[in-house]
This record gives sequence, C-alpha cells and structure tokens, in this order.
Amino acid sequence: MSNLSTKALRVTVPHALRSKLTVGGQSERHEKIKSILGELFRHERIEGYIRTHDETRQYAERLIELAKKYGDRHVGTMQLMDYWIADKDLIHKVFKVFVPRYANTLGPYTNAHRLPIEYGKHEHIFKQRQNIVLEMKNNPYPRIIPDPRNYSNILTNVLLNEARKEYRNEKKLSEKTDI
Amino acid sequence: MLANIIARYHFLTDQLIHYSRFFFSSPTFALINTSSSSSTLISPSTSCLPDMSILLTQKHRATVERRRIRRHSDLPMSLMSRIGTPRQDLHQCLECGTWHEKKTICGNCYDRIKKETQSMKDSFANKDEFNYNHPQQEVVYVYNNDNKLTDDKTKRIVEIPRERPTWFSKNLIPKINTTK
Ligand SMILES: [Zn+2]
Repeated sequence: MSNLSTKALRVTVPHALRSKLTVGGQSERHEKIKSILGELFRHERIEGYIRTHDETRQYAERLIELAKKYGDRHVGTMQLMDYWIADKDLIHKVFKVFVPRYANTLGPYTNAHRLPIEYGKHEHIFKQRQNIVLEMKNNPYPRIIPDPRNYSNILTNVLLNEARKEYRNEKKLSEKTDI
Repeated sequence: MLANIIARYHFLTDQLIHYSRFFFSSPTFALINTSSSSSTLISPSTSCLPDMSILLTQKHRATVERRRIRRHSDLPMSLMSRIGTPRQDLHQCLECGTWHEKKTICGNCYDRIKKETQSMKDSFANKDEFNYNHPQQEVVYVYNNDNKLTDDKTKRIVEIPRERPTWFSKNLIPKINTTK
C-alpha cells in the first residue's frame, strides 16, 4: 500500500479540523466518509455540513487520481476502492464515467461552494452551521456560478479603448515627425 | 500589537475561569433552575430565545472599572463594539441584487438552480436503477427544444418534457475569458 502515491492533492483541509469528525472513533469516522462518498459519486451534487463534506472531498480526489494513474487491473487500487466505496455499482462508475471524463483535466475534480448561513435553524440557536454544496466537475446540471459576463460594451471600457487608440496614433505621428 | 494584547487578555481570562475552580470550592458562575417555578402556570411564549430552564448568572459583583470597560471601551469584550458595529462583510449579487455574506454564494440564485437540479433528477424514470445499479455511461438530459442526439451506447439520454430555461445555457464548459 505504501507505493500508492499520488501527486500532492490540490485540496487541503487543516489537520486540526479532523478532530471534529472523530466522535465515535476512527471506525465511525470511516463510515461517515464512506456514506458521503457514495452519495457524492451517485448524485454528483450534494449539500451538507462543511467539516464532513470538505474532508470527504480529499478522499474523492485521491480515489479518482489513483484510478486515472493505475487503472482497474491494479491490486492496491482495487483494495482501496473496495474499502472506501460501499455500493459496488459505483466502482464501475468511477472507471467508466469519471476516468474518461477527467482524462485531460489536471487538478481538483470537485467543486465546493459555501451556502448562505441559515440563522436560527441550528438546534443550538445562537450557533451557526456553515453548509456547503459539493459537486463533481462537468456534471450535467446547471452551473452554480453564473456564466461569465461580457464587459467590453460597458461605457468606461469603450472610452478606455478609444483613448488607447488615440494615444497610439499620436505616438506614431510624433515618431514620424522626429525622424 | 493590539491583537497580541487582546489574545493575551482572552488567554488570561480563560485561565482565570479555569483555575478558579481549584481556589474556590464553587465555580465563579452559578446555575439557576427556573423550571421549578412552572407551578405559576405561565405558558411560555414561542420566542427566539433558548430554553430558559438554565441561565448563567454572575455570582460576584463586577468592579466599577470592569463595568465601565465593558460599556465604554473599544476592546472586543465591550458591548458597544460587540453589538453596536454594523457588519461590513455583505455583498450584493450581480445577477439579482439580493444581499449575501462574503465567501458565500447568492441564496436567491441558488434556489432556482436547486429546484431545476431536483426536477432533472426526478425526470430519471427508473429510481431503482439510479439508486442501486447506476448507469455506466454519461447521463445526458435533453429538453424539448434541443437537438435530438443520436442514440448510441456511450451516452444515456434522459428526455425532459419541458422547454429549456433561458438562464440555463447549453454550453456547460464555456471558455472563461471575460475581456473578449
Ligand atoms: Zn443572486
């Protein structure tokens, strides 16, 4: 297992935050991560508490990174898949859907956005609970961040472009007259 | 410099509360149980306040200096700076104009995306297949006014009997270049 190394993952969670997940010991923590992983791979867009879901993100990244690197004939990779993914139909999905989808992409294969805090909805009313939405990249659902805008027709940009053109023309003319 | 002093101050107060248990036989803060007074039969109104059966009260009177610091100083423990300062971390959404907190996405815009995503998931007819034997191809959702895809084995086509919403662009991976 020790030679199953990926590159440094581009998603990090500070180490101190891990203690929030170990309520019932390491086995409980693993069960929680497994359930969230299955949900993420099946639905491709889920919501939940930031501590659990942001940590599960690393595991999803690592599994896909290993699947891309070693393929489905590698013993150690398949052992890891068998341990971390509880529903066995999702192992096929990782190799048949996610690996071809992310064949040409580097870096994180998931997105995470912070949802607005709902004040007063938590069981302890004066505490706030930050939820996030976690999704796989290039999924078929509508984009969360809206489409990039075209700013070229805004008045200030038009004026700046014209000013730039004038400046260049003047410079050219002055160079010609100097020579 | 000031941040250091404040951090030091918090550390000292925490330690004081912690070690006061060893110096005094009882803690510096006492608990009041008001649930025994329920015999007066005043029905509790549903308010935003927490459960009133346990309240933290002061056991020792605070000194004049301490009270004045609490009221009038600029330290973070002061009431004025803690409650009276307006929030500076609110942003306005560029699409719809509602206010949302810094670092978070706009809740108003996310609501319609959430509803659309849920209805797309619901249009996948075979729930058992989705939940227990997930399709091994890319799932493609096709609206009424889209081009018909050729039915090959590499894609799983799900038809939605609706028009495509205007805000849902067909190009899911646009080249991000806002300057051109
Ligand atoms: Zn908005």
